[in-house]
Amino acid sequence: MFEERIREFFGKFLRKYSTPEDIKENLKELRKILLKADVPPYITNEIIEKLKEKIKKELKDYPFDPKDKIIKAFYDVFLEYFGKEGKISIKKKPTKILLIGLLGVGKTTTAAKLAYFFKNRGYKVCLVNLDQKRKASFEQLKQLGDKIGIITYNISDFPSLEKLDEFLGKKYEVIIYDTAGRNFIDDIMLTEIKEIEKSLNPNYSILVTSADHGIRIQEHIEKLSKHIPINSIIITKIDGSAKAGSALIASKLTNAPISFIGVGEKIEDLEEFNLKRYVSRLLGLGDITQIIKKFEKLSNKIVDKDISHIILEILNVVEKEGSISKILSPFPFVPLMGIKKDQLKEVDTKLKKYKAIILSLNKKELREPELIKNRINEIAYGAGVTKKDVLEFLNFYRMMKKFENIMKGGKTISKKDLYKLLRFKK
Amino acid sequence: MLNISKIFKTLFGEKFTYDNFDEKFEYYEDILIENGLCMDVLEKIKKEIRNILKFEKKWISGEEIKRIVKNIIAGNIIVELEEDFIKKLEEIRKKDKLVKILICGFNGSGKTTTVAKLGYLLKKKGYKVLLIAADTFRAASIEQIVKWGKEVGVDVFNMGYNIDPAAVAYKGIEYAKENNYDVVIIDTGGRSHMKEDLMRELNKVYRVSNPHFTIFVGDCLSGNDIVEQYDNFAKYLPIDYIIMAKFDLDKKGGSIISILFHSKKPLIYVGVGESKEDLYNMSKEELLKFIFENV
Repeated sequence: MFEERIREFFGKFLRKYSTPEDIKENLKELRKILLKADVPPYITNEIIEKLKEKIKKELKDYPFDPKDKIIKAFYDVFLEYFGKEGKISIKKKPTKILLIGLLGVGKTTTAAKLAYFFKNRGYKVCLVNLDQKRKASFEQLKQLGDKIGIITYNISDFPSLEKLDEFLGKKYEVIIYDTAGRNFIDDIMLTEIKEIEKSLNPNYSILVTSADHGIRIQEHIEKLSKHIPINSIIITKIDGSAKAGSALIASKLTNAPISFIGVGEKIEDLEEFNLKRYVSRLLGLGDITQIIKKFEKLSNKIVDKDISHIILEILNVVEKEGSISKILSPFPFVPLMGIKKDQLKEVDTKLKKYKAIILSLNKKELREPELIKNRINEIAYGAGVTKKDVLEFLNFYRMMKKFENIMKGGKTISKKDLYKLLRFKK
Repeated sequence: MLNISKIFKTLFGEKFTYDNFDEKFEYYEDILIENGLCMDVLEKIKKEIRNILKFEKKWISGEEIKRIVKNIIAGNIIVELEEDFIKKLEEIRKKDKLVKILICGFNGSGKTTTVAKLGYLLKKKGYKVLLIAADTFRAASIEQIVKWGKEVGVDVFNMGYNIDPAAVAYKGIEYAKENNYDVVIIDTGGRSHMKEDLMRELNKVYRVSNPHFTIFVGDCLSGNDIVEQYDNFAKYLPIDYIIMAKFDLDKKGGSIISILFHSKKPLIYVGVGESKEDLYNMSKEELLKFIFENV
């Protein structure tokens, strides 16, 4: 629902000339969209004011058809507001990382993901549990650590935090400290984390915040940031439907850059934060840069190959991403073109069948798929599909042939052609 | 931050009419949002006020608008008293012997802690309670619930990790029947409502266990996403009750009002702390007081 609205919103700008009245109306709509994404009202209102000014200026300079300028103004203001990116770099050895966060934001999972991230970059990493409150907190961290071959230590096995820190400092290059989830309005819990921070003196004090949390984290972060110098932020659970607007609160109040985002439940589901991608996501435009990159890589690959290999390569990308609907749904033009979600799903099932068919073709058929006609029954049997599917594939192949030159020549596919392609019309 | 004097002026001087309502209400709206109210619910409230201005009254004063908003919210949310809940539970126990409760929710909302607290509460009411550990995915989830069970003095049924949660639920219920338990509380793994396979898995647990009550556990710190979470869960299994955890971290209740208003399902408890007693049956009046305290 949310995404349809924001796409519609940008669609309006893309489709027609915008009068100042349209723009005013649209900004009202944008306000709602931002508030719905959990951006707090005071920041939302500031953003809208800034946009108004910028657009006014752009309209003065470019009174005719200013839509490009308007979209750029949007993007500029958003980039200015929506946090910063900042990588975690291991300059000193050991580098001590302390994870801090509210209850249930996903600190422990993040700790393990971080450990895995640095282990893969060749560092000697360990995990440390400082949470003596949550039940089975050590077991949780240890089970995650064991899976990725990282040793997990427990504070309760050592006489003091200082002793533990001293011991680990000699053995490891990156030490990740996981702490108890807390309530920062509670003075006792705040003092506790303050003391931990003081005696550890970590290189990074990372605030872990959940994408689904809303505006009510404000009070907590306000208080926390007054007592502990937070110098990095990680946003978790960004794979859900939440837009993570509240991460802006964290970013603004702590003045710390965002380093990572958690994008799933698997250990490798941690990505370095990319501001542009985040803004696209917040605006419901999806992760366009990432997808474009993937297809760019693909088009480099396909230059010298014959068409069935191209199809296979495309299918591989699709499979890796999960589904064509997943790839295409972030693009605002998909709903604009009137393509519905169910249609994309249909395409997914078809593509899976096509892949099976390609894998059942012999060498000759791969070069000259028209030969398929001679062996329809066999191929259908081999691929586990129906005869009708094989015939459909042949049509698909013929159509792809038409696109072959476009793809090899690096020309872009027109909307009309893409539409045809998706509908598999001849 | 918000301009307080501006809000004051809007509330106590001017008149809201159908034509100026949207603009004038904006400041008021911001405070409700700052208290955690979702945009979807806010839009519904605004629509009702617009209707009043269109059909019933020419204008509404600043003083009156607060009361109207409060009335609209009060008329659209259900809060169930503990005694009514226990009465229903008791009737089912008499009829079916075993009362089955299924708990579900998004990652990190506070399900397991809630399960333990609810188990403890029902134990204190005199029921023989069994907790079923059907989160077989999350690291140390079983150790966590087993430790909780020990602390609150309630038995826990588990079959280890990486087993179909539906199978655990089924076996747990069989075990409860054989051993004359009164209530089972099935704890499920936290899941993202966007992951279809996980939601289908939850649906399977639901079908296999056929619970008398399904309880959705939400997080009071959730923002606008909470209604989306609820909708997606409700698509896969019918929700009977809402429990909102971490009220001690919020103390405004905007998200509680949002989910109740949106779902039209009754709130039964709120989580107010990390110890076993911290499950609280809040009244509607109390709930409304929190959000309107500084409005």
